[in-house]
Amino acid sequence: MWLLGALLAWLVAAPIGMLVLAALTADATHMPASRAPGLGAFARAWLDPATWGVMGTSLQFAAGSCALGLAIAALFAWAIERTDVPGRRLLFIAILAPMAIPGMIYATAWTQLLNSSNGLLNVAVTRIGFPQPRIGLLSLGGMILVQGLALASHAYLLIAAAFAAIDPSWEEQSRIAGRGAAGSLWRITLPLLRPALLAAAIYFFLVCIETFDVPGMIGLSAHIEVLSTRIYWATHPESGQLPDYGVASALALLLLLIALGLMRLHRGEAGRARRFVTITARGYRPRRVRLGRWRWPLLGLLCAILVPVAVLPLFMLVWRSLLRFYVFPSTAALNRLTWFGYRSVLGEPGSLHMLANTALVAGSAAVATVGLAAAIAFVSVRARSGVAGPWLRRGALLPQAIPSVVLGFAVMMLYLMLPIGIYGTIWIIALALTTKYLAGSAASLIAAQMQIAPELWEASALSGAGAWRTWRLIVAPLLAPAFANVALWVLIHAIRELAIAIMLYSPASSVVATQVWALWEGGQMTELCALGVLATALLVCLLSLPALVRLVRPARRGSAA
Amino acid sequence: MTMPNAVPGPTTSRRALLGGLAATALPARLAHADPAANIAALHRAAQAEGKLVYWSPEEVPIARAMIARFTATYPGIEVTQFRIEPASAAHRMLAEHRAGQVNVDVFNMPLLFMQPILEQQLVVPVDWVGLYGADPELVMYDGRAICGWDLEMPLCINTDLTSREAITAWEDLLAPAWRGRVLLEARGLPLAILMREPRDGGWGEARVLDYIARLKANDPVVLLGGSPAAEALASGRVAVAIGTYSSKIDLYRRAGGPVDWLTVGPIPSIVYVMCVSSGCAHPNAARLWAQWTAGPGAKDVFETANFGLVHGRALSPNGQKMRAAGARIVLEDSDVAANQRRLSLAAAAIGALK
Repeated sequence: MWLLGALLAWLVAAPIGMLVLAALTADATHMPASRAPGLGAFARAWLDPATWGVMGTSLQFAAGSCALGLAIAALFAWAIERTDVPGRRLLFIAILAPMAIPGMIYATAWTQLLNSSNGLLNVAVTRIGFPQPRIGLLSLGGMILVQGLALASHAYLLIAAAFAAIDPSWEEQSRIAGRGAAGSLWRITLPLLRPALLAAAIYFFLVCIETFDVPGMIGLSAHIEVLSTRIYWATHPESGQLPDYGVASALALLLLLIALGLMRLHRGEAGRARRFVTITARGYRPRRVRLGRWRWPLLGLLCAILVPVAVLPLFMLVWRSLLRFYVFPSTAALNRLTWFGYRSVLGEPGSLHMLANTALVAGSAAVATVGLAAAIAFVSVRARSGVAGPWLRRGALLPQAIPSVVLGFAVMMLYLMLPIGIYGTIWIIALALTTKYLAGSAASLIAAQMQIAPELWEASALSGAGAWRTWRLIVAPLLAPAFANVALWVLIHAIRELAIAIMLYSPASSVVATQVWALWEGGQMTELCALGVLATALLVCLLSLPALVRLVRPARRGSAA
Repeated sequence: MTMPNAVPGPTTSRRALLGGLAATALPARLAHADPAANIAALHRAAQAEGKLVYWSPEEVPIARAMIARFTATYPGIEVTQFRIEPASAAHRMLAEHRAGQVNVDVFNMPLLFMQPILEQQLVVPVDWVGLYGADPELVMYDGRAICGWDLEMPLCINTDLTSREAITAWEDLLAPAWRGRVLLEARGLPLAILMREPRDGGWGEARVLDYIARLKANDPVVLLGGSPAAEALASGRVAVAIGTYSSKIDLYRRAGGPVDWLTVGPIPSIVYVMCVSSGCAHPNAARLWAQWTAGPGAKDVFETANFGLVHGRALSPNGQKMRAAGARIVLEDSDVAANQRRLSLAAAAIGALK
C-alpha cells in the first residue's frame, strides 16, 4: 500500500505539484520558480469572462463527442461480445483499426472528405447529379461528429471486456420473465455495466476536454474556441514570446477540479461495488445472446456505422498516401499513383533506431501502466484499504485532466530539477506516458475488478490458498481480457502520443511520434499518410493473430445460449 | 539592404559577462589579423571537442546536406541536428539553462523568437568580424547572432484553380470573386511583417489592419500552420494562400503539385539567425559551425539544394527572382519588440487565435 502510494506520488502528485508551482510563479516572461509566487496567473485564467464562455463550449463539445463515441462503442461491444451477430472477428478488427491513425490525420481526413469547396463527399454527391449539398464540418456539430467517431475505437477497447464478463444467467432470467433482447439489454445488461460505462464516460469526457486535434484542425477554421485551444495558445504564443505556463497551468488546474467533481460520481458507484458483480463463485459461463432474425439487420447497422468511423477516413488515408498531391478519385487519377511515400518512410536512415526506441518506450509504458493500474484497482475495490483506496483511485484518474502539452512541460521541469539522469533519455518519455495513461487504465481495471465477486477470494482462502495464489490462479485469468485490452490500448496510445514526446525527446530518443510531427511540420503529407497506413496495417495484422484475439477478447467457455 | 544591428533587451549582467569571457577565452588567445589562421585554430580546437549539437527547425534533408558539407570541409567533428520548432526550442533552452543542463551548442532561430533568448542571456557574443572575417552587415545584436538566411512568404496559388495573371495586387483578393477561395494562415506572420513602416518597404500597421478586416469580410479559410496551408492549396481546397513559404511551394511544385508563387509585391520575408549557446559543451565547434554558415561554403549548399535558403542581404534565390521581377521584398524587422507587437496585432485582427 505504501509502495503504491509512493509510486503514485512520484508519477502523479509530483507533476501536479509542478503545475501548482508554475501557476504561482510562471508567466509569459518567467519560467517556473524564477520569481516570487503570486496569484496573477489564476486571475488571468479564472477571472477572464472569456474563459467561462470557452468552458461552456468545451463542456458541450465533450458531452456530445463522448455521448456519440460511447454509444457507438457500446453498440459494438454488445454486438461483438454478447451476441451471435455474423462476422464478429472482422467487426472487431474493423472497429479497432482507426486507433492507429494519429488524431490530426483523422481530423484532416474528415476535412478532406467534407470541406465545402472540394470535399470528396460533397464533390461525389454533385458529380452524380445532386445539387451541391450543404454538408460542412465548420460548426460545433461537425467537431462533435468527428471527435465522437474518432473516440469510438478507443472507447470500445476499454469497455469491451466489461460486456464480455456479464453472466448470461441474468439475461436468461430476464427472458424467462418475458422480456425480449432489447428489454433485457435495457433493464439488465446496461445497469450491470453502469460502473464500466460511467468510468469510461468520465475518462473520455476528460479526454475530449483536453484534446487538441479536432479543435485545432476544425474548430480553428470554424472560429470555435474550446479550453484545449486556449491552453494550446498559452503554450504556443503566436507572437514569439515565451509560453505562458502560468496561465496554462492555472487552466489545467481548473480541469483538475472538474475531474475531481466527476470522480465523485464514480466514487458512489465504486462504493456499491457489490451491486455490479457479474462473475461469482457459482459458475461463470459467458454465453451469447441469440438474435435470430435480427442477426443480419444488426450486421447491416454495424457496417453502416463503420463507414464513417473507419472506412471513409481509412480510404482517404490510403488514397492520399499513394499520391504526391490530393486529387479526386477517378480512373485518370490512377495514373498518378506512386509508392513514393512508402519508399521514403521505409528508406529513412535511422528508422531502426527510432522503431527500437518506440518499442522500448511504448512497451515499458504499457507494462508499467497496467501493473500500476491493476494494483490500484485491487487495492481500491477489494483490499481493506480504508480511506487510502478512494484516494488512490482519485489520484490515478487525475492525470487525464492535464493536457498533454502541460503534462509534458511539468515532467520536463521536474526531471530537470531532479538530478536522476533521465532527462533527455527515452525513460522520461516512458514515465510521462505512464502518468498520462494511468487514468484510462485504472478506470477500466477498476470497473473490471468490480465485476468479480469477493466470494471467489473467500472460497480460495478457505481452500488454503494465499492472496497471491488466488490472484494468480483465479482473478488474473478472469481479468486477462481486461489486462490485454488495456495493455494494447496503452501501447497504441504511447506510440501515437505527440505532445508529450515532442516536449521530452532529444536527438538520442526520437520515436515514431516525433517522426510523425516532423513529417507534419514539413508538409510531407504523402509520407505521413504512408506512415499512418503502415501503422494501421501493423495493428490489423496484430489483431488478426488468433493468439492475440483470444487474449484481447475473452475465451468462450460455453456455447451460445 | 542593411541588417540593423541594434541590441534590444537589458544590458549584459555580470554573470553573463563572466560566462561570455570564459567562452571566448580560446579565440581571444588565438586572435590575430588573419581570419584563415583563426579559423584553422578554431577547427583544431573543435576537433578536440569532437562533437556539436545543432538545434534548428529546418527539415532533416536540408540539415543533412549542411552537415555533410561541413564535415567534408572541417573533418573530425560529429554533428547532430536536433530538429525542434523555434517556440519549443526557446523555452526548452531557458529551462535547461536554469537547471544547468545545457544540451545545445549552436542553434538557428527566426528573429521572431529572439527576444527571450536575448533577454535571458542565452547566447554568447562573438567578434565574428574581427576573428573570422565575417561580413559586418551579417552580424546582429552586438555579435550575439549572425545572420543566416531569409524565407519569402509571397502570395501562392493553385494553378488548376487560377492563373498567375488573375492576381496583380494584394487588393485583388478583396473582390467578391475570391470569396471563400483564399486561405489565411492563422498567425498572420506575413501580414505582421508588412506592418513595417512604408520607409522600410511595408504598408504600416493601419493599412494592414484595414486589409485584414476587408479580407475577413470575404470569408477566407483560416488554417493553422504553413504546411497545412500549403497542403490545402495543393489539394485544391483553396485557390490562393497567404502564409506559406515560396521554398515549400517549390518543393511541392517539383513533386508535380499544381502550385506556384507570385511575384506580387510587397513580399514579406522572415529572417533566421545562428547563435552560439552560452555555457555549451562544445563552444569552439559551435563557433566554427556558425561562421561557416555565414560564409560561402554553406551558401553553396543551400543554393544547390534549392531550398531557398541563403544569406541575409543577398536574399534567397527566390527572393532574387522576385526582386528581378520588380517585387519589393520586406525583410522582418530586427527590432524584436516591434515584431512581437505587430504579430499580436495581426493575429488578433485575424481573430482565429484568442
